[in-house]
Amino acid sequence: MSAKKGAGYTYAFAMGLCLVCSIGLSLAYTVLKPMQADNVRLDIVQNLFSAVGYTPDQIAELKPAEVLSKFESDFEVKVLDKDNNEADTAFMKKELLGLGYTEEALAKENAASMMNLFNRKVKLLARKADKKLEEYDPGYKALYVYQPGGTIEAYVVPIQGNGLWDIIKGYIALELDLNTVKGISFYEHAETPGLGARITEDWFKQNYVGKHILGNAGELVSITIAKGKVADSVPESKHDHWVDGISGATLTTKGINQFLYADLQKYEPYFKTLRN
Amino acid sequence: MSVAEATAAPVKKTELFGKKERQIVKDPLWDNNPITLQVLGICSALAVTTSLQPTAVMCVALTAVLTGSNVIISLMRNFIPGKIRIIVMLSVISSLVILVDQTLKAFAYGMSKELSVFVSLIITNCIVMGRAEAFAMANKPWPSFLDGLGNSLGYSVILLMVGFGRELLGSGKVFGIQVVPQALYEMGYVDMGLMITPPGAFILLGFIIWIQRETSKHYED
Amino acid sequence: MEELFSIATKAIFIENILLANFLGMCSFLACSKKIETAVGLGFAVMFVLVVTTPVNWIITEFMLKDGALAWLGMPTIDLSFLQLICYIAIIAAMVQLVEMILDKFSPTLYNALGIFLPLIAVNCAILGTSLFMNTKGYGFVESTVFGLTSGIGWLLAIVGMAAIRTKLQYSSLPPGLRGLGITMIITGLMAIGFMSFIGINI
Repeated sequence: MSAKKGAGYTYAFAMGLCLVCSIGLSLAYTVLKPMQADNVRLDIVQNLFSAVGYTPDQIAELKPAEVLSKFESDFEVKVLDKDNNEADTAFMKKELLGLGYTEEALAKENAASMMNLFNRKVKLLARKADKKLEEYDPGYKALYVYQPGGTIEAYVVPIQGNGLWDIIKGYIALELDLNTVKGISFYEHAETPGLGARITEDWFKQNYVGKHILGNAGELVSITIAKGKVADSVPESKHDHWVDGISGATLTTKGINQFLYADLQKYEPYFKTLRN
Repeated sequence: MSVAEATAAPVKKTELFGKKERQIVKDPLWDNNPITLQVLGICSALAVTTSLQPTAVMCVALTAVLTGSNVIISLMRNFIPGKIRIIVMLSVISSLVILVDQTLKAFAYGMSKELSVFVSLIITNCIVMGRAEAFAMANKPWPSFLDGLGNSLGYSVILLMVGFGRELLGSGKVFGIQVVPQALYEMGYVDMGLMITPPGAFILLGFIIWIQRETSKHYED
Repeated sequence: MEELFSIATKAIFIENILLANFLGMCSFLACSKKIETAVGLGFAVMFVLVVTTPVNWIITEFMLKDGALAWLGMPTIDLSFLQLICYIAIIAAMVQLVEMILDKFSPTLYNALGIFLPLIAVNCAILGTSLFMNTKGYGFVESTVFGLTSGIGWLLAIVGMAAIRTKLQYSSLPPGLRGLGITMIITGLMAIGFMSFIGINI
């Protein structure tokens, strides 16, 4: 190592290094961000299609621009509040403007993306309005209605919750009876490759297809991932609500079981009205 | 420091591909392998090796970070104040890792999704820190570059071996392609679930280390 | 209180950071030859964990989280992409700080631990604990307890390993398997043991 230098040198060196690193990283971040954002958006849309039953091959055939335009024509996004009324976008906008967002920045957002922004900031907004979170939070949630060619074929519910390392996000598509699962997909996760990350593999997602989220009495049961094979560990009568697990990914699957139930429960009152 | 003395010998003359330079690259490939002999970088080796594809991407990412950090640290070696050297090395390493991560996200989104958090965890891969401390702090940029390259290749060799073993035995595939014939399954062959789980990796790695040490005749007491 | 107890038991046994999550493996394998060094390193890791987990919690809560800068009047800023680099910087700074403090006030302890300290900075158990603390959404007190008990779990695992390795010296193994090779295989077996804890609910 080099000869002894004063404390001033150490400080100067540390400052210099910080400056160089942060400038370099910010540059890279700014340059690469648009490409990353495109990738993320494309991935989300592809997963929506995957949830409603498109096979990986069918999705791979479509060009990125085609997928995005197909999304615009095939899906309708509904934003609901906790009483299942249409969400009030003007209210969201007013609150976000109050937080310091500019009119310009919000002009680009549609109802769904504005809702995402609002939900991310909801704790802060509640504090600002001097109300308890439970009182303040309008409980906005999105529901994707899949209607290719005008007739409704499926309802897609966004699901998310904690996995082992970080949040897992995904979609579950339900048939028109709002009971039978049409498909499931997971798009954002940070699970261990080869273990928890296998939730994105086709065989695992296929397990969900055709299962039912409601019990015999019409109550919400959701679908649970078994430890190991369903055939070995679950009584025959319950097979309708269980799917095969992934060995070595107990904590990931436990997380999914929890948030799938919790998220379906949020939509259940609304689904009840739709079923009748 | 502890890792340092064992392996680093400052290189005096700088030829482009002299005997010593070749030695720097060749040595860590097998005879002085970073994983099996220097006991560095095992955490990530276990996590990503359940199948070959993420393993291969991980090797490429690590090679980029390790050679990059070795060169940069070596360029700065005479200016780094000793007292804050750990944090300086880590800042350089983590900046590089974030750069690799961001690049993967922009240009190879599928890959970056597959590896997820483990690209970021290269920061804590002790090979990178270990080589920076042991070699780059005491050597010129070119040998440091070669040292980084050699060690990442050595790491890759072991990682790919473990990945191959785990994917073949654990799911009957190589690079995602089924190689164990269906007929064998019908005769009652079952994939070895243990190999997919981390303990399987430990045990497999244990055997690889055994083979490696028998062939390189490096014994511990 | 009950919840803290549950976090503690989970962190020490059920979700042991080393044997169930496989973090902090390198130093575990390299420094488990003798009980004394294992105990020393174990306590050093525990100490760093107790300090860094709450500090990282504070950093996340008041600087990095989306909207965390509200106290500065900038509620629209989201710095969470800086999470990893901030965590690692805090860890490195803490390790360096611990090194300097020990050097000044307790040279004996410094000499005993000195060489392990820089390695702790890249011990993924430390970073892993901070990341887990974040995903699990713990509060300040919970984070501190989580950090402490993760450290205890790590300490337990490395001391256990060192004890096994001491006994192992009396067994006759093929020369190539001695040292790291057999340690790997034993770790695998220990991990299988600990995996049976996974899934227990407390």
